[in-house]
Amino acid sequence: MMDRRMVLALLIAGLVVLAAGPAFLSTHAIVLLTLIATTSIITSGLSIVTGLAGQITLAQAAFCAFGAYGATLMSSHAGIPMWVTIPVATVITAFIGYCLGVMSLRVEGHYLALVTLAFAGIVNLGILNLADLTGGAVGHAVEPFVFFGYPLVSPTALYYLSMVSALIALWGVSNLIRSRWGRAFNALRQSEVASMSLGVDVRRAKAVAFGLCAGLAALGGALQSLQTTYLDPVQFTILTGVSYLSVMVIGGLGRLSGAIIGAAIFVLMPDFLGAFKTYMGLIFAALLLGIIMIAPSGLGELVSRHRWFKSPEATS
Amino acid sequence: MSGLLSLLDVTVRFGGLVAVNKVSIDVQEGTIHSLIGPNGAGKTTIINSVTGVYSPSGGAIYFDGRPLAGVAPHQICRRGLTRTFQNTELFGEMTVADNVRVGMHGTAEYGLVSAILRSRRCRIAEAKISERVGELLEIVNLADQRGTQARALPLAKMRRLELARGLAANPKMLLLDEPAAGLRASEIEEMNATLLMLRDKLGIAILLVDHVMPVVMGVSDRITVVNFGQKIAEGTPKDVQSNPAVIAAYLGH
Repeated sequence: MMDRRMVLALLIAGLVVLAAGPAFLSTHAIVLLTLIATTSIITSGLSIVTGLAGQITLAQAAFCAFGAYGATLMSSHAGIPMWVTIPVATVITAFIGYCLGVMSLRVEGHYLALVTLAFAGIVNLGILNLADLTGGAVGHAVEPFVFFGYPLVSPTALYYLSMVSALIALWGVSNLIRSRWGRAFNALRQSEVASMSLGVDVRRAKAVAFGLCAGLAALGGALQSLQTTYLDPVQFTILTGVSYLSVMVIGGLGRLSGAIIGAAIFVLMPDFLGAFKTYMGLIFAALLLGIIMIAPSGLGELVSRHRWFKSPEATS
Repeated sequence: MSGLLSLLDVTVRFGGLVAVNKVSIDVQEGTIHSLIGPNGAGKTTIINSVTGVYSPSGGAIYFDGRPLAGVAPHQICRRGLTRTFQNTELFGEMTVADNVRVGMHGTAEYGLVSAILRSRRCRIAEAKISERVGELLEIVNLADQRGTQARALPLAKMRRLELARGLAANPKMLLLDEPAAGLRASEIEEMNATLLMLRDKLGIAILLVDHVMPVVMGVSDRITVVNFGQKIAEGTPKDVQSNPAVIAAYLGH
């Protein structure tokens, strides 16, 4: 166990490296790091709802779409700047996620997975068919992020914007995990009947977890769209939702570091494979199976000994 | 209907099977009341209807003067009635301390936004919770196990942890479903001492379901005996032990 000062020193060193990154990294590396930052916001939602609360969701990409389309459409139709519409879209999507949670959490396990799958399908069909609003299959240009007259569009500007947002989001999630809510999510995954008898409103807690997860997806999706600059329905299919969950399994569902590792895999693997991209499905499947067999708790277990989900007083 | 917990002619039917037939029980404040009976007598069914897992087909249940019908399990807990489980339902992947903290979920005084921002309010509440965890673990003699994973504990300690977790919800009454099953003689004595301490020092009423006679006879103020879903006897441990109907139920005619 590292002591507190050591952890703090490493944390500060890490922040300095991240802050200084654009000074010595190539544009390509900056773009990738930005993508990892925004993707880790999306996957951190899954550490709450699936990792902690144990509810499987395949709708994460659909909630990203709500954030990305919501922010851009509000901005382009009503002329509200993106720095306002992104948080607004995040909050609205969190509410939608909460409602989906309330409606669908009467069902459990495979049935819940199917409900979220259906929801993801409906959202994607909605994007394709509401062409007047969303641009349909053609897509829709993303409004640029302009902050009081300063447009943040360069890779470096987006890097800082995404990195700061990701750090704040992950900080919030890690706080939540250590709070009574995190404990309630963790408890209800392990025994619903015991949680209930101890005063945890299980159904409400699950819906709250869903709402938070959806909100994080929306924030990550909206920030990501600033970088891709174009909204294409193909980015938000059921398959993407399944991929988010799969990289989380590789990274480690049970801990927040798994969300960062998962996001890195999600972004770096296609880039790393380059010309061999055709084989990506195959390599990805092999990696997933290998992880399930060798380290069921994910890469986070192998890579780091530091347990984010463990309370500081844990001895073993 | 004078007790803290009153069951009035409670009946539970599963299809054509009458699992509990017009059973009335009154548990007085600050007493230990045992519910015993042979296997399949309906004891756990009674517990489950009190805690809202089943809804009785007939009769009424009052806790602290208010009816419990249709009240969700987590609400029942917040009214001051907490239970433990026959086969222990601990959160195995959490530490001993965190198990107890879950018991304080309903009484912690901070909201979701506070939790995410780890506000001052949240930190103060969490500090209070940690302090209370220490006190409760002291009561059940697990203070040296704070950081152990719950699933790594031996059975007797698991039972005591369940007790501490239940106490964390600040109950007026505990419903204990076979807390002594599978314990060794020395562990049973320890359990007896703990139960009596809860009654005498903390003033908590206990409804105890168990087969282990050294516990039942050692701590109970009153005992209700059920067989085939019917109440066949009630009284002090002495009365019940000499009751012919009880002897017949346990030993056969």
